[in-house]
Amino acid sequence: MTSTRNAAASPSRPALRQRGWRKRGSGPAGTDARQGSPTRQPVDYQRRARRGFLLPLTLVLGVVTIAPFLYAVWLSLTDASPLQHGTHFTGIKNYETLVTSSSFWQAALTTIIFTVVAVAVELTLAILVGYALHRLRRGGSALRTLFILPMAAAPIAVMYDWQLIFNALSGVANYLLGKVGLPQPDWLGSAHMALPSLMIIDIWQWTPFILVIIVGGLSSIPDEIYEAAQVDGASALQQMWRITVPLLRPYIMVACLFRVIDALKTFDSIQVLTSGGPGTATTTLNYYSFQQAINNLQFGPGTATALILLVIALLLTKFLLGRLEKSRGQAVAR
Amino acid sequence: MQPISRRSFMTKSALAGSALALGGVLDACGSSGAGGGGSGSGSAPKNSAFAKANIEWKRFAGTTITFAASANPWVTAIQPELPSFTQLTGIKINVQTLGENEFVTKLPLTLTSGSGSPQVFMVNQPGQAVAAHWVAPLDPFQSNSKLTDSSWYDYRDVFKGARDFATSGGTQWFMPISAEVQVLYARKDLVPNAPKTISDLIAQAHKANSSSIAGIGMRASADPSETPWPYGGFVFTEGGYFIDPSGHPALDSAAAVRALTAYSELLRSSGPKGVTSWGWLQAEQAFEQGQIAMWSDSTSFASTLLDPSTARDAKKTVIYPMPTVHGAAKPNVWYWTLGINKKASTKDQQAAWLFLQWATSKPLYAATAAQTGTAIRGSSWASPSVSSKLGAAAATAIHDALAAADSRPMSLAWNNPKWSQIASYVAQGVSATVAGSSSVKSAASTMQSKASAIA
Repeated sequence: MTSTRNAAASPSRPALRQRGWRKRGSGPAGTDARQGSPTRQPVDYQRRARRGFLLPLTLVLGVVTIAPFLYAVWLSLTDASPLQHGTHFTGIKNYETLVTSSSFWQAALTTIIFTVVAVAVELTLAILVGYALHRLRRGGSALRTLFILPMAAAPIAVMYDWQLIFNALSGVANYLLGKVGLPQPDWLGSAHMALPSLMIIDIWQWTPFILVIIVGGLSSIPDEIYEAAQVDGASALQQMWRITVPLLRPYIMVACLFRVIDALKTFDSIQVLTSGGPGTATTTLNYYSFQQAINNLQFGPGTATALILLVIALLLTKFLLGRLEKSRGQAVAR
Repeated sequence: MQPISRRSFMTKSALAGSALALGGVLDACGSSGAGGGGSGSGSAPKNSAFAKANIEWKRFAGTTITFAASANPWVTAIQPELPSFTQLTGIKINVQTLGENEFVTKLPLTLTSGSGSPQVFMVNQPGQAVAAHWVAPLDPFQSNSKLTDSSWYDYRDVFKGARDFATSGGTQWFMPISAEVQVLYARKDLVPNAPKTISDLIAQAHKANSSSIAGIGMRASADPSETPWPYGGFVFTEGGYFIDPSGHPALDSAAAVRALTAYSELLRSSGPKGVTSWGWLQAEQAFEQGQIAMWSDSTSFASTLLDPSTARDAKKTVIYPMPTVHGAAKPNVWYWTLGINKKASTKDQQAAWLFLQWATSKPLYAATAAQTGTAIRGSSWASPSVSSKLGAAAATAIHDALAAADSRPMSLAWNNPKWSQIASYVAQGVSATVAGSSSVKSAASTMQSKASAIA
C-alpha cells in the first residue's frame, strides 16, 4: 500500500477519491493534526466486502440456528409441554431424570454401537474400494458413478425399498439366501438382527460418500511415491498400509467427521423400518428425543436428550478436528 | 390404533368391497347371505335436503376453511361433494391430505405452534388434543340455534359409543365421522369354524400354522399408533383395561397379563417371521398374499380383503367375530373424529362448525355410507342407497354390531392426555414380548412402572 504520508508519492485528490481513499485525523479538514499533512487511510474494500458477504449468512445463522439453540437450552431446563398450563423452570431436573433412566443409557449405547460399527465398516470399505478404483486402469469412472448411486437416492423412498428387501417372509434378501441354502434371518423382527440390519442400510447408503472423499485424496498422492516403493520391492499391501493410508489420513478424518455426526443423527431408517423396536432394540438417542418431544409432547426431556446428543457430537467433532490437524501436520512434515 | 387409513379404500374397489364386507359380517352372524352386488356410490344429496334445515347456511360466505386430514375413505367419499357445500354456504374448503403416518406426526407440530389453521382436523389422539387445548368445545355450537338445527341434525342418531368417545368431562370436543370394530379375518379353507374363545383361537392358529403359511398375524411393531389397538381387544375381552375407570394404568393387571400371554403366544408359536416390525399395512399385505391364515384387525379392511380384484384369496376369506372369554367379547373399536381448532377465529370456528354439521348430516351419510362402510349414523344403514347396494339384512347386521360396541375401555385410554406416551410403552412391551427379548411378566411390569410414573 502506498503511504499517504509520502508527499512526493501522494496522488492527486481526484485520484485518491477514485481509488477509495478517505480523510482521517482530527486536525483541519484534510490534514493530520500532528504532521499537518493530508492523512488518508485506504478504505479496505476487501475487508468490507468480506464483512458484507458474511453478514447475510450470520443473520440467517442467528435466526435459524443460534436463537433456536438458545431457546432449546431454555426448553431443556423447563417442563414445557402443550399438555399442561404454563411452563415452569425446573433447573437440571430433566438432565437428572435422563441420566438416571435406564432407557436413556440403553439408547446411548445403541447410538454408540450403531455409529462406531457403521462408520468403521464404511471407512474400511471405502478405502479398499477407493484404492481398487484408483488403481484400475479402465472403467474406474463408470464404476465410481455406479457406486455413488445409493447416495443420490431419496432417503425415505430407499427405506421403503429396504422394508421390502428385508421382509422376512417375501423379501429379496431371504429369497436369495434361501436359493443358496443359507439361513434366512428375521432382519427387522428380531431384537438381535434389527440393529445390524439398520447398519447394513447405513453402510450401503453412505459408504459412497466416504468413497468420493477417499478417491479425491488418492488422486492427490503422487504416482512417483508408488513407483519408488515398487522399485524398493514393496508389495501392494505394503504400499496400501505404508503409503496410502498414512497419506490419506487427513481425508479419512474429514470423512469420519461428517459421517460420525450424521450417523449419530440417524432417524429415517429407524422411523420407517423399526419404530425403535423390537421393544427398544433400535431406539437411538435421536429417536428417543423424537419420541419424547414429538410423540409424547414432553419438550423439556426431548430437548435435553437432543442437547446431550449435541454435546456428544461436539466432543467427537473436537476430537476428530484435533486428529485432523495432527494428520495435516504429519503430512506436511513428510 | 388408527386402522382405517387405506390406500385401497380410495379406489373403486371400495364400492364393490363394501358389499362383500357385509357378506363377511353376515357370515360372522351366521347368515349365508352375501351383500348385494351394487357397485355404484350413493347419489349425491341435493342442496334442497340441506335447505330444509333452519340454518342460515350463507352466513359465512366468502370464508375459506382448511381441513387437515389423514388419507381416509371418509375423506375420499365427501371430497366430490365439497363443491355442493361451497354452493350451499359460500364457504370454500381447502382439504390437505397426508398419509396416516405423516399426518399423525405433522399435526401435533402444526397445532403446537399455535396456528389457527387448519381450522378443522382429524384427530387421532383425542386426550392429547383436549389437554393441549387444540380443540374448541362443540357444545356451544350444538346449542346455538342460529348455527344448528338440532331436530334436523339429530345428533342422537350417531352411535352411542361414538358419542361417548367424542365427549370428555361432560363436554363434546369432537365430531365422530367413522366407526370400526375389531374382527377376525380368516381363510375359511384353513379355519372353517369361528374360534369361539381366545384359547380356541390359539389352538386353531396352531393347527393352521405350517411351513407355507403362518397361523395368525397381527400388528406387533413398537409403533404406538399400531400395536396397542388390536392388542386392546384382547385386554378388554379378558376383562382388563389399559387405563382403568379410576384413571390409573392397569397394564400389569391379571387380565392384562393373560391378554399379553395370549397375544405373544399366538404370534410366537403361530405367527410369521418378522411380525414385530408389522403394522396394519404389513399384516394386510400378508393376508392378501396368503401368508397368514388369520388376522385380527378392524372392519375397515374388509372391503379390500373380500374383493377378488385386490385380494388373491378373497373368495376364501371370511370374517369371524372377536373370540370370547367367559362367553363375552369386547373387541376394540375406533372412531375417527373431527375437531375445530381452538386458535381459529370465532368466525372461522363457526364456519367450520357449519362444515362439520354438513359433513356429518343424515343426507350426506345416506349418500356415502355404502362407499365407506364405516358410517357413524344409525339411520344411514337403513337408507335406500345402503339397502339397495348391500342388502337390508347386511345393513342391519353391521348396524347392530356398531350399535352394540362398547367404547368405554378404549375411550378411557385414548381420551387420556398421556395416552400417546403410555401407548409407546404398551407397543414396546408387546413388541419385546413377541420378539422374545422380554418375558410377559417383565414386559407387563415395565409397562406399568413406566406408565405409572407419568400418569
